[in-house]
Formats: sequence, structure tokens, C-alpha cells
Amino acid sequence: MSDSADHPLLEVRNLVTRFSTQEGDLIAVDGISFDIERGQRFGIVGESGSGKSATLWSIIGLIDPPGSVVADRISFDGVDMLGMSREERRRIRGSRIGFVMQDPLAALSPVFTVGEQIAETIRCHESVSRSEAKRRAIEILDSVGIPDAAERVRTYPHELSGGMRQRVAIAIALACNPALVIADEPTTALDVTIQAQVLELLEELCKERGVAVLVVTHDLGVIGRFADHVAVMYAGRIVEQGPTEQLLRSPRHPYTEALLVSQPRLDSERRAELPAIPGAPPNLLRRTPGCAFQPRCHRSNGRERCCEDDPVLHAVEAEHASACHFSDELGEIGAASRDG
Amino acid sequence: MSTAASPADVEEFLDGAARARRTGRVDPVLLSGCVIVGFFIVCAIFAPWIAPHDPDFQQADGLNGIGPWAPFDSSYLLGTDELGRDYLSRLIYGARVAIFIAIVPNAIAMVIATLVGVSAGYFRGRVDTILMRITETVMVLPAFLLALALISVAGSGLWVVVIALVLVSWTYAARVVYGEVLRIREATFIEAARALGASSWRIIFRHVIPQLRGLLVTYFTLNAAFMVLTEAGLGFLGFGIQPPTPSWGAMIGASRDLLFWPWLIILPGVCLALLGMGFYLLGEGLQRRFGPRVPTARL
Amino acid sequence: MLRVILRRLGWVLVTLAAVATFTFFLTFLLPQDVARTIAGDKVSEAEVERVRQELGLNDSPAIQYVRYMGRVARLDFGYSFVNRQPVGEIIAERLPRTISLAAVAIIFQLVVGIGLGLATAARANGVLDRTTLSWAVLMISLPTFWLGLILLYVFAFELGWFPLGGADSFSAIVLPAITLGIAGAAWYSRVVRQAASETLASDFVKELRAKGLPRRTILFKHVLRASLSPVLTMMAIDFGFFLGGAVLVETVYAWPGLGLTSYQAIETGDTPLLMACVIVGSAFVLILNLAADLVRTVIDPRVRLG
Repeated sequence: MSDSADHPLLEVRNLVTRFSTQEGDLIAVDGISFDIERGQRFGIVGESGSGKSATLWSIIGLIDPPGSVVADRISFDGVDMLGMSREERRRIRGSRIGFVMQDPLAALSPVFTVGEQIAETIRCHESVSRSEAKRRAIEILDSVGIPDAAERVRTYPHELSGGMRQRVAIAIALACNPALVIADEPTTALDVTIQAQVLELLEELCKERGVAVLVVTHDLGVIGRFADHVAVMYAGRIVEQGPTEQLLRSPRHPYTEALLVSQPRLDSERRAELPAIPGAPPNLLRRTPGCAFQPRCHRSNGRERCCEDDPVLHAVEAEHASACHFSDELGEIGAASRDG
Repeated sequence: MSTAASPADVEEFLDGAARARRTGRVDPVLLSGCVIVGFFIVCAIFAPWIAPHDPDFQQADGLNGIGPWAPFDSSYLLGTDELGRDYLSRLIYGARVAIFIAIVPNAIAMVIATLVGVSAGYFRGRVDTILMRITETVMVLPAFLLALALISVAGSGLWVVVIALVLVSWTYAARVVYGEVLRIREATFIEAARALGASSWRIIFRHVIPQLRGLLVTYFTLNAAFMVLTEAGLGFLGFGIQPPTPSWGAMIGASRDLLFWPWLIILPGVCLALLGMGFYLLGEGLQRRFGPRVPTARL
Repeated sequence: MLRVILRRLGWVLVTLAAVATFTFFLTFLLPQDVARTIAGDKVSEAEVERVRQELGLNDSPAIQYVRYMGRVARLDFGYSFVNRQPVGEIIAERLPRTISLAAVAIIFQLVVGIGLGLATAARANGVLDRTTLSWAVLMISLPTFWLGLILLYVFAFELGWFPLGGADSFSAIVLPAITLGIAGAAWYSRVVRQAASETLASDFVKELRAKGLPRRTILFKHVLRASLSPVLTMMAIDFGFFLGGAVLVETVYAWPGLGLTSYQAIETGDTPLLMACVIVGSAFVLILNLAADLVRTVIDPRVRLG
């Protein structure tokens, strides 16, 4: 909390996460950097296997062997997390950084009441009495919009609906008043109508409490609705990054463009089957020279530079960066289509 | 590996069993099970040729001044028993009883289990309710005690022992088969066969039972260990296969008060433990190699 | 809930009636002349006939059956052939011995089985874990009675740490309880290992770590709780098997419980005592089974009592 407006809440510099396998090192996250400001809603979007979940787990220090994490810097609230002991990192998890997982049914213990699961989170980070923890559990359940919270603390997860369970998961994440909430595909396991409600709730609560949110999803609709800043990940790297509105309006990387085309819109009436991006993500065990997206790229057309040079993230506008050699081309096309 | 990279994928990638399957190496568990069980089967079949002496003959020089010969102390390799009979020969012949017990009552129990499990699982409804209610109730009862009561009344003839062993073991198997049939029943090709108008019995024999083969073979192997150990328990109490036929359990029972000559107890016990272990390892290996996972009911 | 328990208790009674019927048919198969056994060898044929009349052995089987079931329902198991004592009294004296042995053995197998299972799951691929299959298979394959004899030989006969049998001192229960529980401990350790490693790899443990719970809380609160259910499921159907083991173990250690009593009853041809052992043993097992199922519904709220 402290003195701190001069540094971002979360600072990630050159994060690399690798898993050593029998067939060599698998680089899941390949040198990514980003900042999250206080109260900001930051989104990471990408296909499964793009390294977006590995990024989250790396930040909170939960990558187990054979995985390993190195970075120039991961600091939270000005404190370097890489230098912390396991115990210190554990104390931050759940209290200063809340976590919401994808499937609330799988993420909640089936054999304890939801009240107990919220209360144990509070009690493991703060020295409060059992009854005080329970009182706060009811309070927080109430604030995530669960009716009859005093009654519902005694129910088990399997007795609740999917939306209610995700609300419980959010309640757990917020139980100790964190400064940052990390949400891994928080709406993927939910029905469409429930998705919107949960997003709205998350947004409302975070605004109310001034909490920053890092949300990871494969769904650009979620990003568009929720995040004010977005990073697009492909094959372990950030390929494009910028303010959400600008990035979605005029993407400067062909992968983002392809994602936009293949994306059903959250608010659209027709949810017809849309074509996925043709081809498969690359083999992360054996990187080939050149742009990782090149084999699937509809703009490359086999240009030599795409196959030989590894593109780096560069600024295309203020706060907007792209890792495409031909990001200018896309800018022109975008501008042309807007004008026309 | 065409796609990659979420932690879950990595976990799967590192999964040892999958790796073994890919490399196609021989599973040491399966191999050791085969070797042990094979060894005892050979002993059982070729006992008359392998055994150095008649197992029931009381050797003239079979006893020294104070009692039986200890192992390695005389011309009798593993010593003699309290009646001066060659212990090695008795152990080798004991394999015959063990292997017989591992196969015959076990097979009968499997047949009953298959009939009950398949009928209940395939026909469902009232048949299911009644059959499985009975199976589960019998399963809970102290089967060993009931078997003892039966033997005490009917005498421990060979077939009474076989019936007693079937009695104690068919229920677990029936429940395992039942569970598997429920799963198979859901498969689409059975729906298809039914839609084409195939009769129930035809579907059962053509489609359901062949699919149970892997499970039955695995379970048969695991249950063999249980049969051998249970017969040994009966034999120990004096209610197993009757003397003079040498049976490991009965040999231990006969020597239980002779703690001064511990090898009389140790050697047959080692044979039992080895054979039991061989069957378990074989079953475990078969399970790993061919799946399906037999639900871990205690055998 | 109460109605379900009552229904289950009703089913226990039905099952016991079936067991009693089974024992009735067994006494019918008996080769010996019951009246002659009771009257003794030295009395006249007329005297035996009088006993036969008295016991109603000349009545039709149907009437005898009804009478038999009526007596069993009143817990009247008749008199021992051997020492003329009421069978009920003998059982009342012996049953508590088996209950205490079973209790200690069950606690032993649960503590060791769950402890080892959790330890191996928590340190997957550690030395303990890599040897767990071999030692578990070994323990399961050791014949109970043989293990009993070996322990008796080593710890009582050679080392003299424990009495050679009987139930006269407090330490006498140690060896029988370990012998009886060790196979179960091996089984349960594997079941817990399986369940716990599945749990450890599951999303909800990730969530527990993400919310900052210490490792020991995760292991001893959540993983333990989630692994108990399969153990209890297994244990519930195992009590019958367990009692079979008790017959062998009690015989080896001369532990004067229900198991030794059944063995002695068979040896001496004491049919009424044996039948009472079978019925009471079954009741014991059925009640334990029901109790385990009840505990399971408490531990795992998803389980419903059927």
C-alpha cells in the first residue's frame, strides 16, 4: 500500500517459464513484460497453449517442478517477488492477490461448506476468531449478491448453481481485501447469460474496492466488455498490447485480426459456428526461426522476412505495441477501412 | 506433440505410464509376476519329476536324535518334517494344491459372477435390484465364518472346500462385472445392435461378454491370490484340503506348536507369500498394460 | 435421514433372519445325532428318546424352523454341547474381546494406511513412494496366520517382549492387532495414495494453494478429507473379511474372542455355540457396515445413504 504512486502495482519484466521434458525444454512463456496499475483491469487473451495460464501461475509462484520460472523482475506493490521465500509468497497469495479459477465446481472442495471455505481463507491470513471469520464470510457472500447469505454459508458447492459457485469463488478471492485479483478464464465454464452477470459483478466489486484485475481468457468478447488494457499472447509471447478499445478497433497484428474474425461477439444475437483460425499453434519444444505465427498468417504470403527474422514487440502508437514486421500495413488497412 | 504448453499438457506429457507404453518396454511388474507364477505352475505340473523324494514317505533316516533335520544339515536339502518326510518334496507337491485352488474354485466363482453381473447390469429393473441387493448383502457378511460353518457340518471334502471358496469370493467379482456392464451398456454400438432388432442374448454373448474379457482375466489373476491365501487359512485351521495331500496352509497348521523348528513354519509361508505376490503382481501388470482398472475392492 | 437409517436397520434384521435360516439348514445336515450328543454316551436309548421329545426333534422341520427362529429372535441360542453353559453367556463373555481387538486393529490400519498413503502421495516418486507397491503387495500376500506365527516366534518366543498368547495382560493385544490390521493398512495406503494424488493434481488443490493455505493445512485438512471417503467405502464392505481374519488371528494368539470360540466350537462339535457365533458375528459385521456408511455421509456430503 504505502508510499507508492510512483511504481505500478504489478511489474513483470522478461518472464520466462520453461518445463524440462525428456524431449527438451518446453518454453511456455518466452520473455514477456507488462505492468498493471492500481485499479486497472488488464486482460490477456490467446488460444489454449499460448502460455497465458502459465503466466498467471508464474506470477503467484505456483509453477512446480519440472517447471521453472526466471525473470528480470516480478514485483508486486514495489516488492520483488522473485527474491521472496516460499512462505512469504504464500502469505501474499489469497490476501494481497486473490485468485479466481476457471471451473468453480472443480475449484471448490466438495466436502466443506462454502462458509468454511471462505472463513479458512480469512483465518489463514489474519488472526481472527472463528466466529469473526464466519461473520465476515456471511458479509462477503452477501456482497457478491448471494441471497440469504446467512443461510447459504452452510451449503456445499454441489448444492449451488454454476453462477452461484463462481460468485462464491469471487467471494473467496476478495475475502482478505486484495489489491489485485487474478482471474483465469473466469467465465468459460458458465452459461452465456450467467457470464455477463459474473463479469458485471466482478467489475462492480473491483471498482467499489479499487482492486486491480488481471483476467486471462480466450474470449475477446470478455476482454472487450471488461478490460481497459489488453495483451495478446501467441506461442508464449506477447504479440500485441495496448488499450482495449484501440486494439480491438484497429489491430496491428494479423493474429489479433484473425482472433477478431473468429470471435463470436458477446452481445450478438446470432451465435453461429465461426471458423477458427486454420492451422495449429507451433511446437514449443522446437522453435523455428522467424515469426511463430507465420505458418498460419494470412498476411505473410511467404515473405522472406517473416520466415527468417524473429519479430520483436515495438511501439506502433502511444501505449500500443505490435510484434509484426508489417504492423504498418495493418494500420493502413485499418485506416482505409475506417475511412471507406 | 503438435500443440503444447499449458501446465496440464505438460503434466500429461510427463506421465510415466504413458511413456512406458510409448517406448514399449517390458513392465518389470508384469514380468516378475509371470516368472513367479510360471515357476509354481511348472512345479505343480512336473512335481513327480522334480521332487527328490516321495512327499508322503517317512524316511528311515528322516529324523535325527532330537527331531527333524534342519535345512542344509543333511541329504534332505530343506530338511525334514516332524514325521521325517522330505520337506522340499512336500513343498513342491504343495504347489499342486495351490495351483488347483487358484484355478478351479476361482473359475467357478467367475462364471457365477459373470452370470449375476451381466444379468443385473444388462436387464436392469427388478432383476438388477434383486440380484445386486443379494450380492451386496452376501458381500458384507463374514463369508469366511460361514464357509467354516459349512465345512464343519459337511466335512472338509475337496468339493466342499471348493464350494466354500466360491462362496467367499463370487460377490466381489459380481459387483466388479456389474459395474463394467453398466458402462458397456451405454456404448452406442449396443444401442445400434438393439435398434437392428438383435435379441438380448445375442447382444450379451456377441457384444457384452467379449468386452468383459480383459476385466475377467485381470480379476481372475488377482482373485487367484485370494483363493490360495484363503485355502491356506482353512488348511491352517485343519479344514482345507485334507492330509496326507501336502498343502502349504495345512503344513503350517501342523507345525504351529513346533516353534523350536521354525523352518517348518517359515518355508511353506514363504511359498504362499511368493505365489500370492506373483498373482498380485501379474494382475497389477495386466491392469497397467491392458486397463481396465479393476476397482480396488479388497480381495 | 432417520427413515433411511430405520430402513437400513430393517434390512439388517432381514439379513440376519436369512443367516439364521442358513444355520438352521446346516444343523439339519449334521451327521451326528443331536439328542444322543446332549444326553451323553452312557444313557439308554429310552433316555435319548426322552431328550429328543423334549427338544422337539421329532416334530416336522417346518415347526422346528419356526421354533428355532423364535428362539433366535429372543437371543436364546440354547446350551453348549460341551459344558452345558447357556450359549448366550459364553458369547457375552467373548464378544467384547473381539470388539476390543477389532477396534485396535481398525485404528492401526487406518492410521498406518492413511499416514503412509498421504506421505507417499505428498512425496510422489520419493524413496517411500517408489517402494510402496512392492511392500504393499508383500504385506497383502503374507498369509495372516503365518505372519502371526512369525511375529509370535520373533517377538514373544525369541525376544520375550510380549506374552505368547492369551489376553491376560495389556500388551497382549499388540501383536494380534498388528497382525490383523497390517494387510488392511497396506490396502488402504494404496487406496489413499491413489485418491490423494488425484486430489493433489486437481483444480481445487490449485485453488487452495492460490488462496495461500499452508501446505500442511492442504494436506491434513483437505486432501485427507477427500481421501477418507474411498477408504471408508472399502472398509464398509470389508468388515466381513476382517472377521474371517479375526478367526485366524485369534486362533494363532489364543485370544479368547468370537473367532477362537468359533474355532473351538468346530473342533469340539459344539453346534449351538458355532451357530450363535455365526449369527452374532454377522450381526456385528452388519452393524459396523451400517456405521461406516453413516460416517461416510458425514465426511462426504455428496454421499447419500441408500
